[in-house]
Amino acid sequence: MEPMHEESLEPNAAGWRSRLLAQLTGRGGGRGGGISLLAGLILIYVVMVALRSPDFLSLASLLDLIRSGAAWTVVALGVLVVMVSGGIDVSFLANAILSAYVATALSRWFGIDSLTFALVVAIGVGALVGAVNGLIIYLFSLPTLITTLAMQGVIQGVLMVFLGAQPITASRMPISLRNFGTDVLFEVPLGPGYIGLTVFVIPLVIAAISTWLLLNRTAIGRATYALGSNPTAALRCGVNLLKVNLVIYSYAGALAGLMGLMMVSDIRLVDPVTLVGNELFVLAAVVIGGAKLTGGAGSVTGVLLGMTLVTLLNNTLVTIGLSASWNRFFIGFALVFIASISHYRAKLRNLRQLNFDNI
Amino acid sequence: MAELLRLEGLSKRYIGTQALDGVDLAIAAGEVLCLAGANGSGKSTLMKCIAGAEAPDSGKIIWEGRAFNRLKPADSMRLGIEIIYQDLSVFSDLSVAENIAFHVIQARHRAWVDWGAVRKVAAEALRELGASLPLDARLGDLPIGARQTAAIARALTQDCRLLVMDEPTTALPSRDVARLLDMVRRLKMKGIAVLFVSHKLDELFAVADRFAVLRDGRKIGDYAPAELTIERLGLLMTGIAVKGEKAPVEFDVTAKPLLSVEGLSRGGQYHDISFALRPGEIIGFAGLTGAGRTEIALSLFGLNPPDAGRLALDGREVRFGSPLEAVKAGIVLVSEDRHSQGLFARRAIRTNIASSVYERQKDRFGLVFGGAERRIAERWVERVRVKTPSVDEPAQSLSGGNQQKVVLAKWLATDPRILILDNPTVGIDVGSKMEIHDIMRELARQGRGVIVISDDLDELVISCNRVFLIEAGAIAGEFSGPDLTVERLSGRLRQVV
Repeated sequence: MEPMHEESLEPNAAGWRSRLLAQLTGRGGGRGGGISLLAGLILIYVVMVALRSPDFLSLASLLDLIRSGAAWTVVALGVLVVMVSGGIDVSFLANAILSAYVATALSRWFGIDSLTFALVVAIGVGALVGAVNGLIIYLFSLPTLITTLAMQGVIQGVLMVFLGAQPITASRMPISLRNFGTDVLFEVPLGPGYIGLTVFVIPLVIAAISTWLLLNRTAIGRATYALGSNPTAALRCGVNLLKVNLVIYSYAGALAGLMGLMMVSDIRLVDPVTLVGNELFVLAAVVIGGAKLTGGAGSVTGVLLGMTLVTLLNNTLVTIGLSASWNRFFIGFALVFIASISHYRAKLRNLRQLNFDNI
Repeated sequence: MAELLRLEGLSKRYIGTQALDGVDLAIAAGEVLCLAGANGSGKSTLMKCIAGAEAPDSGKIIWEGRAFNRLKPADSMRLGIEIIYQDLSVFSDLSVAENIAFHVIQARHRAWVDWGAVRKVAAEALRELGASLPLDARLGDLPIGARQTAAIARALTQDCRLLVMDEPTTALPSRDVARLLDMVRRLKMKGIAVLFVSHKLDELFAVADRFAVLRDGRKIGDYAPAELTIERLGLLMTGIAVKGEKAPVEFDVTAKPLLSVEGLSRGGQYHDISFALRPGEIIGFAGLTGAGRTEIALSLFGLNPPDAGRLALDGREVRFGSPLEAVKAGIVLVSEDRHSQGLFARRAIRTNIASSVYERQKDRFGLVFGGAERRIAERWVERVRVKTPSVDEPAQSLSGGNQQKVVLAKWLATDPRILILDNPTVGIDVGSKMEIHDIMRELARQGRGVIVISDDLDELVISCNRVFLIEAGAIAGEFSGPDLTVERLSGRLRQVV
């Protein structure tokens, strides 16, 4: 028998505009969509910065980029997993600070000065808060945005009550945590001093690998994509919604806890207002990296690239002669730009099948 | 053949309706049974009882001699019953291979995914079906026929003994129907029982061993295909005789054309389309799905702009940049997929009907209150005979046929001069179908122009003055008067296939 549907599987000959766009954005479909466009944008931006300040193309810049982006990437990977399922989590930064606070406070309370202890506590508290998110969403079939927004409010309220007047400052933080923020794996000479590769790269790599494994190599990860792609069908196929919700929200929470500990070690301050309002950067990085707000798409590579772009913008606008105040403008702009391109691609794809849903 | 499933005296009552009333039904291994019934006849409820999604109030479900009062979804899956719903329940964002092997990936004892095994399972299931699909393609990028194939292949990866397919041919282009029938024959040879649940059954005559007809929750009887014709089946389903007679409306052939189309072309879709539509005329577009019929209609409606050619309304050249301009000029398009493109399912019938004419609902301060909406809706509900207790009911509470009438009414409220109807009677019962044909003729009598795209040749023959055969994006034939018969049209279509 001849192969089925052979003739209709190739996209129709399209105009030069759509062909160019397809080239620009890659034909990777749902999974790798927009990755090459993003890599191209990063490259163009790096060249722009390098033209203004040739010093930028150096190992030092790269090490600095990793240092400032590591913690944010860790939390973004958790947000990715939730977004793949078709949900959204906006409680992650509040969760991060709460977890870090509990870890620091317990360390002081028991007089334990151990990074391992702090890590276990922070990740555990983060995962617990995430599990509560997942459970509430499952039990009451609530919209994920509302649930996690409420959770953000609750956590911030609790933090203000317990911690508002007295942030934990550097001198009162365990030494192991302060060291965690400054330790390096190796150092290279730079000018008069040295610059090193932060130990943050270890949690970063672990988080990236485990997220990739979760999403691509486990049944629950594939169920997460299925749920984001077509929730009704996923439930009909017997996907256990409670299990998936608990796993993905706890996972996102655990990464938030880890990120919180990294942040407070870095800035040496546990203060409820430290991270507040920066959710935009993380969500932008994930969406710029190709995750769909409606679920079913998104990848670890995308998040790594998206966060690279966001961190680059955050770190280098000054270099190209703009004040740091432009950060939000550019990140908001990049978010809208990339989201529009991916919407336009979906529209072209639908038009070929005469589907005018999102015209 | 060994009996696989027997339903005995199955009854189910919902508030206000007796959905199933003592239905007996049996299906043997390797048998292809078509369960026919109009909308609201109880076939969905029956299917849900088999799937385990609903519990019958009384009666027995007997699987290979074992009697159950009800099945739970898990029981049904364990017994080897696989249901393919009309929406196919596939995952657009996932690859073909993953869609097919989804159950294997999600099997209870497995935590890790072995992608090599996934591909192997998918390839094997496709081989059993005699089908081939690109395993790594994103399923959402493939046409509907390919998605259906993937859904059937997925069912095969389980130990499928009974495959239930809900409305399998309704959304399928005709050439894919042949492929579907091919696959069903293979399933049959493997001893798998296939239960088609549908109201569009003429395509299934070729493969069915037996028809069972449901009407108003009761089984009317079992029939061999040989003792049935499409007309008789329609009569059994609805209790109304289908009059398949030609009844075109007379119109003035010398009148000035309402719409003239000259050399309309769009790269890769259709080319050099020319025709004139006169007041009171009904023109039909026959042809295969993908031949360009829908594409042409969309271009007339201001979507899918043509590359070349001209459109003239009353002799004046027009160019539509958007559907809004087309509607303002008096052209409306009733699209085939009323669920996603024509109906606000959860909103009240009145809101649906009046949604096309907000301008007319404004009072002198430019504000819209409910009164005008209700008046407009009530008038139209009466004129197109929507069966509903009130215009306040949500549109989704109506049967498919009445939903389609609401969509029609919505567009008729704009007082269009030209109506383009894309498969206006797909998925609705025979009774409603005839009523929609009556509405079309009534519109023509009022001097409006109508263009009907349809896969139902009968529908075209009985209501059109002229039918164009669209083939590979061009008008390949014109049929009218004594030439316009189902035999002639289907003869030409077969040559194309």
